[in-house]
This record gives sequence, C-alpha cells and structure tokens, in this order.
Amino acid sequence: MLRVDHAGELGARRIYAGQLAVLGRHPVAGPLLREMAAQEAVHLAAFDDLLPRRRVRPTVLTPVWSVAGYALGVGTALLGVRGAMACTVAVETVIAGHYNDQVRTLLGEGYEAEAPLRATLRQFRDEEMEHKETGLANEAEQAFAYRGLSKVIEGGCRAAIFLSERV
Amino acid sequence: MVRDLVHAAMRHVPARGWTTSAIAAGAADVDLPPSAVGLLWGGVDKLHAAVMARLALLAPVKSLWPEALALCGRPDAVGGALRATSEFVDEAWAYAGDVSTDSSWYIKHAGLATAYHTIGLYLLTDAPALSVSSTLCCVFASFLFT
Repeated sequence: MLRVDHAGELGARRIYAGQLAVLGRHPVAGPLLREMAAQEAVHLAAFDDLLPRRRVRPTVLTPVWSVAGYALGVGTALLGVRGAMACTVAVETVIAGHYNDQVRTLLGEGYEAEAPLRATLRQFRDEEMEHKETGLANEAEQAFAYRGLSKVIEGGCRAAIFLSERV
Repeated sequence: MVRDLVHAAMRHVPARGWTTSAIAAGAADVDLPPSAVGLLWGGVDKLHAAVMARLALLAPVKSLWPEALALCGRPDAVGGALRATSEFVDEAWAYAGDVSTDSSWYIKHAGLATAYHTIGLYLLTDAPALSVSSTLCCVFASFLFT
C-alpha cells in the first residue's frame, strides 16, 4: 500500500517537474504548477519517511516512473496550459480514488491502530482533489482531445498502480 | 558535505589504510571536527556488527555448514533460504539506519547479501577473522557512499 503511494507521489512530482520545464515561465500556469508541485513534494517527503520506518521496500520501477512521469509532464505541457491541466485532472482523479480505496481498507477490521495513517491519507486525498478542481477551473476540459487524453493517462496511472503493488 | 569528506578521506587511505584515522585526517582537510568520523563510520560499524554476529552463530556448526548450504540449494528449500537472507539483510540495513527509497535500496540489499554470503564462505576456510573484518569494512563503506 505504502509502496504504491510512494511511487505515485514520485510520479506526480516528476510530472510537475516536466510541466514546469515547459510552462515554468507562463504567468498564470507557472505559479499554479509550482504551488501544486510544492504540495506533492510534501506528500513525497511523508512517504519517503514512512517507507523505511515501516520497512517497506520501494518499487523496483522507481527509475521507470521517474522518466515516464517527466516525459508525460513535458508532453502534456507542450499541448499548452490546457493540456497540462487535463493531465493534472486525469492523474488526480485516479490518485484521489486510489487514496479513497486505501482509506476504506484502513477503516476495516484489524486496522484500528492506523488512525494516524488514515488521517494522513485523507488529507492527501483532499489535496489531490483540490488539484483536480484547480485543473478543471483552468479549462482542462477544453484541452485538445481531452476525452482521449484523459482516458490514456488514466489507463497509464492504473497500470502503474497495478505494477507498483506487485513489483 | 559527506561527499567532500569521503574524497578527502580517500586521499589519506594510501598512507593510513582503511581506518578511522584516514577519515579523521580527511575531516581535518575539510574543516570538520574529528567526530565527523561518526558520519561515515556509524553505519558501517553497525553493518559490520550485524554480519559478524550472524556469522558467529555459525561457529558451533562450522564443520557441517557446507552440507547445510547444499541443502539450501534444493528446489523446495531455495525459497526459504532466500527469504532468510533477505530478512537478515533488511534487518541489518534498518539497524544501520538506511533510509533510501530509490534504486539504491536494491543495490544496498543485493550487495549486502552478496558480501554476507561471500564472507560466510570465506570464513568456512578457517582464514584469520581479522583480515576478513577489514575487507568487510571497506566493502560496506563503499555501499554507504553510493
């Protein structure tokens, strides 16, 4: 569970890095992306701290996600601000849903002691949903080929989650 | 800062060997107090202690260990043997304070497993433990520097 979260936040940070590489100097998108990237950095730091403490091994695919995330960031940013926002919406949709599933699992039997972790995941989920709202507010849906792009990105995220859970 | 300390210490290794005095001399070069030795040596000491403690458990059965290793190679026993090694390596690195969360995690764990097994096999040949100890230290030191 923590392994996937760590991989996810690593991917998210690399996506924002890629997007900032292209749109960093944009007057509106630049500061927005930087703010969201800063929040993702906090999330990643939290998992970087939790993983060794819980003796969870990181996914062997960290270099793959690092490169793929950056490439996705650059690719969608090259489609313009709307493209970058569409990417954000797609990724955050999957991630927020994923955190929700985890919180639900942790509400089940045998996880009573995990209240702090549950609270952390809830907070992260809320922040990811904020990012999604930001994306939608910034004309994500008017991006070029929004539907197709979203489906592809969401599919990619789900595949990444599937693989990181196992490897 | 640690990188600078490592480079400075390496310059003194030819004269002083793989010892804490080389690190102390390196620390002086980069304007760190001699206690900076702890920056590099703390983790290595713990790894060393963990591996030597584990190998010391083998001392009473040393003569029969080759047979045990052969048994580990059997298809039905390989899984258990691998799990035992990975659990030991995991504990050793956690004890030494490893907090890596990237591909260096895999390098460190695989490397320690290899070093542990190699040292174990070497000790079976009744070689003097002292030389093994210092070889062990420089092998581990190289992991910590990655």
